[in-house]
Amino acid sequence: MMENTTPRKALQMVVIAAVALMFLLPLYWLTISSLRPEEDIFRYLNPFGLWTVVPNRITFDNIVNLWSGAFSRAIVNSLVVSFVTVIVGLAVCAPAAFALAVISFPGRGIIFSAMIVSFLIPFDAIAVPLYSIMRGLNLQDTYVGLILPGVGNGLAVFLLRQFFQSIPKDLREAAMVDGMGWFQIFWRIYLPLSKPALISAGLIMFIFQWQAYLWPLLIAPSNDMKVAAVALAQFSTAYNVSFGLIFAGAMFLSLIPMLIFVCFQQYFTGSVAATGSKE
Amino acid sequence: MGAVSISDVRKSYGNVEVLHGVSIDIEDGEFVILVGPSGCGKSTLLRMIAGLEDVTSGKISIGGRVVNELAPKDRDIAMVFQSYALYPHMTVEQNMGFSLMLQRASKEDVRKRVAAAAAILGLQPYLARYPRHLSGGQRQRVAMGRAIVRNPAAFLFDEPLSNLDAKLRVQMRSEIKQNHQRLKTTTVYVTHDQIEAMTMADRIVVMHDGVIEQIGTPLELYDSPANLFVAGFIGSPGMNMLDGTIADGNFVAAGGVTIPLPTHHSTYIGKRMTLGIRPEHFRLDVNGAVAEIITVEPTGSETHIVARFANQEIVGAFRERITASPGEEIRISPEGDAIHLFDGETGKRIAR
Repeated sequence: MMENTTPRKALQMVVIAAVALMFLLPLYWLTISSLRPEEDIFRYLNPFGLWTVVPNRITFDNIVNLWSGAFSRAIVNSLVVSFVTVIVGLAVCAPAAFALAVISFPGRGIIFSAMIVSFLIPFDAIAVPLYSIMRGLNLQDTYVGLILPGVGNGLAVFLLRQFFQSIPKDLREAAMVDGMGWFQIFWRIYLPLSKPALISAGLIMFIFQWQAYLWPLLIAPSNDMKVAAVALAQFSTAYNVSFGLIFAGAMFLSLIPMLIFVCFQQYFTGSVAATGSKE
Repeated sequence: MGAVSISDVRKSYGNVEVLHGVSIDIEDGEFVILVGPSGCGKSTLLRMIAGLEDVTSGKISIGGRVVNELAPKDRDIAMVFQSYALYPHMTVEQNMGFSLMLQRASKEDVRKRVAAAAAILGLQPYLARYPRHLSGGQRQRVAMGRAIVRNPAAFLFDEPLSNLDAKLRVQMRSEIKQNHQRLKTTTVYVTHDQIEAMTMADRIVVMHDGVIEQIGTPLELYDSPANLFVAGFIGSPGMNMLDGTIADGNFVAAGGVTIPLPTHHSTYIGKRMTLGIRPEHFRLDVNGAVAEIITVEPTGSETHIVARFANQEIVGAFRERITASPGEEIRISPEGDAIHLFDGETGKRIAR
């Protein structure tokens, strides 16, 4: 391989490596800071030197303190909210996307446009009116209250619809002739062929809930129902900022979605939907 | 049981009518091919029989039952698509058995019927494979297998061979025909390829611009085309058409070339006419008219000559091996009883 390396290519590699490093740097900083005694975290920032980037003392106190406190309950809450949102969300969004992609019915265009608009509106703009509706339904401090706004995800519907539209029409017509109704076509043909799109849509919904801050803060303020992002923010109060706990909490908050990404990475390769047809 | 009857069927998309009242009666067990250039409405008609398109007006019945309002799955038909439309996530066996499974047939029954169809099509070694691991011809067979296992009242084929290479197409043509002879299931087959139509069909329906131009057996269409469109569409190389008039029992073409007619057409004297001659009905004749050779195409079994005859380019097919160069002249004449006469205004056939 080396004999193919032109100066131009080498330069490209260096630039790519530098960019990658820039992305990794905050994560690295997060990790070493969570492993340092709290008083060491900012100690070596100035002047910049070896001990700025290499921890000279390692401790697991921050992590132990983090997990022995209310944070562990908050992480469980976040996991429950995010995973249930993905499952219920896909059960709602996939059929909606199928109907919008495949079945022609009056008003389809209007509904689809409304869906597009819905994900262009920032969530923060609707948070307060949504809060009064949810409070009216007595859903404060409940999982349902936390999960419900993440279930109908316009972006996920859009993504799935586009994918469903790319599945050849002949396939569903063959299925119709073979004796399937709409639901069976959806369940037996479209869903099995749409794994990559379903995983992408699921990840979008997962991240939406995992990083949610404003909504959980409004709807679930009690200690039992707090999610991880809210719990993390509360390590900094008016009188005291526990940087060790913040860094340790932030590390776990970043680590969990990263692990999930890595697990599903192999499914991000293209679709196999067209392989039954002509080449 | 599997008779298909189409009566005065029309199809409109909005204000545009694409099928203008089509009627065909297909007998049980018959192999009927709908043929015509693209945009003639043949695929639309097939999809209407399948139930994939609504019928604007008219009546379609399968096995004596009007199916206009029935869903595809309730019509007792099986369809083979141009793109094969195999389910990519299912094996060959699952693809073929899927419709039976949906009908809640027992596992044993499904396995038996799939095995029987696979035996007919030579697919036994491939049952566990996925469509992506098959060649075009094998996929085509699986698509047919999927239709055969259901034992439907009628098979519908929508240009099933157009994605195959020329050699495979000839092979599959004969396989489809053999399968039809064995299964004797009513078949409606759409193609734009007149050779496919000629070689496979019991009867051919020639369509053009949303109307039926002619229905008949392959040789009826070849020997007695009802109009200029059918005459030009059926046969390869195509029929030669000469414009001219009738005088004194002769056809007078442009440039003064006269061709004697076998029968006297007194009513048409002086009228504008078109004379059709199939390429193989020219013969070398020392007393014939002059044709100036443009190209010579030896095919081995016969020689095709493109020439200038009566101020027009014509193609002649000769059994003789002709060695002549472009620019040379030969003398040819049409076989008198094999010519076709068409009305110059309407394009309709006139008895010879």
